[in-house]
Amino acid sequence: MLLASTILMETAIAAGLKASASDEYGMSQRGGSVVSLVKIGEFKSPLIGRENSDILLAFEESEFYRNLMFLKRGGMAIINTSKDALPEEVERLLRERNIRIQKIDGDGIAKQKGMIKASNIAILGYFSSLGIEPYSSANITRTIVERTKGKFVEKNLEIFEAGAEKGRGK
Amino acid sequence: MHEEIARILVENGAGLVYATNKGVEKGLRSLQDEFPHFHYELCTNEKIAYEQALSCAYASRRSACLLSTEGMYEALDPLMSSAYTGVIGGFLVVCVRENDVSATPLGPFAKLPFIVADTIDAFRSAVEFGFTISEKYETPVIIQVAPLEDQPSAGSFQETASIIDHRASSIEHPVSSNEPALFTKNPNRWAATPKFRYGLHRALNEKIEKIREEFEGYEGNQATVATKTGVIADTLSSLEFYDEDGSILRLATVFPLPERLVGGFIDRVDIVFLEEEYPVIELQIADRSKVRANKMQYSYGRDKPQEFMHGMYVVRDKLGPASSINMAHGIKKREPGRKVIAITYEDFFFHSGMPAFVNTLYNNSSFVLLVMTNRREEELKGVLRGFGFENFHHLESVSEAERFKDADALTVLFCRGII
Repeated sequence: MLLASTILMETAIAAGLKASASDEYGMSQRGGSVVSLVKIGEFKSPLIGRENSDILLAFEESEFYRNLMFLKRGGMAIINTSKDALPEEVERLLRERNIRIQKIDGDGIAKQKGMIKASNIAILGYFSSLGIEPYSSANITRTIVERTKGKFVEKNLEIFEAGAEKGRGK
Repeated sequence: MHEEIARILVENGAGLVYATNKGVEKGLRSLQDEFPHFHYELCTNEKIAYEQALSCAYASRRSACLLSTEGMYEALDPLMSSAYTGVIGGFLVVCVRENDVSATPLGPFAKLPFIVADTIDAFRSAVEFGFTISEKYETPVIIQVAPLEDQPSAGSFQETASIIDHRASSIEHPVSSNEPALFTKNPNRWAATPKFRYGLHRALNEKIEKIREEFEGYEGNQATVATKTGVIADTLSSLEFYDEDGSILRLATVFPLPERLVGGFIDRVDIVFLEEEYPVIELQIADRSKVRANKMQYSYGRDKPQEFMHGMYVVRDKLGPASSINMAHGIKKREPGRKVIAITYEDFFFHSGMPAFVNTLYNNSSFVLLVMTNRREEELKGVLRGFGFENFHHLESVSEAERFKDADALTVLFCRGII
């Protein structure tokens, strides 16, 4: 996930925008969850307050619930899940808050390509299909090539493209 | 129970063992007769036991500390640091599971190898393997063991005793050699500042991956594939029931997870039930699409009503030994008008209560502290006098505490017994 937030931050910077990413280090390696706050544009604080985020990328469904408080009313969430629907009471809450959700089976896509640990790249691929600048497929692809280690670049791009295709197909 | 554990440790070359449980002293003392250069200490608390044992391992000696699973959490500070400093001599952290508390989350949390042993033979294998891993990769290794008194009956104990005799005669005893300790100065390792800690962190991650590879072939991990429904558990003895003729992966090495072994087992079944109390194994499995993880349910009991004693708000050691002292001090500072009595025990006071009491004294608190004693009241009085504190009183019965309900200064009461 930290790689994903770095890619998002550096893609924005490469596009000429001011960006920062505030990460929690270490807990992902110790059985805990990780939150990364990526801010783009004009801002003073690197943190995102309650219900202040435009977009929530949840790399696991439980993390979506845990971090829903960051997402503003009218915001958008992309959730890595194989489920067709979230629990009814959650769907109701999201409707009340006018939150749009997009579900994508990032794990399934990455597993199909033989690298389940790269499900975060599949999610980024899906995200790139939504047309939210500066996060076009071309921009993010460029950052992935710069950021990932040589032997993993091709596989990461393959998974990224599979995620993007899924988004375009919806 | 602990005697058996200590014996196995010493037979595998542990020259120094540190414990906190007084029940183990007799057994440790008897080992000294048999192994002249073996040294043990009973320490006041788990942090001290861990640090003492750890320092021996820094000095290239095989050592071990013997704690309860609850006690492991009392030693969290040095435990976390030891993952980064590593060790030179083998260092085993043996935690005996005496109640529902499992220490398995500490494996991934501290990034230390963690092995679970639920039989005498499994423990013996784990100790031998653990020392090898510890010395090869210069890292403490945690072994969690169920109380060995829950093991098969005396009949098999005879068999075990004969195995011990045979092994004792056939293996070398490093303990008997009394080699001098050797500590090599290296501040970048032993006293690493953040800059050097970063390098140690990378080295730790590399160690974990190599140990993961070692765990792929550990004999204590036993997989049987017979049916399309499988069970993965770190301790089969804790399962209420399971199909013995089914597919079972008894996984002793819960961290780092031997991914090929576990993944291969999961690939060969259609559904896997993962039995563990905390999601330690579960969170290390990347593809959990076939995994049904059952967390064992705890009963936390019904909410108890707040306890009062002679109009005083009772505070007990709910957060740990002698935690009532700090808690009472905090309550009193927040609500000076509330009458508070903290209740602890003499052993707990020596365990963690002394610094708490000094803090209370220094910050001018004014609650009543009731220490339930057994044999050490005079020692406690000596300690308090050493702190410059004289306002303590002996009670013949707890009911006499009523006399002090309106005390407006910090007051310590001693009473023999347990409440």
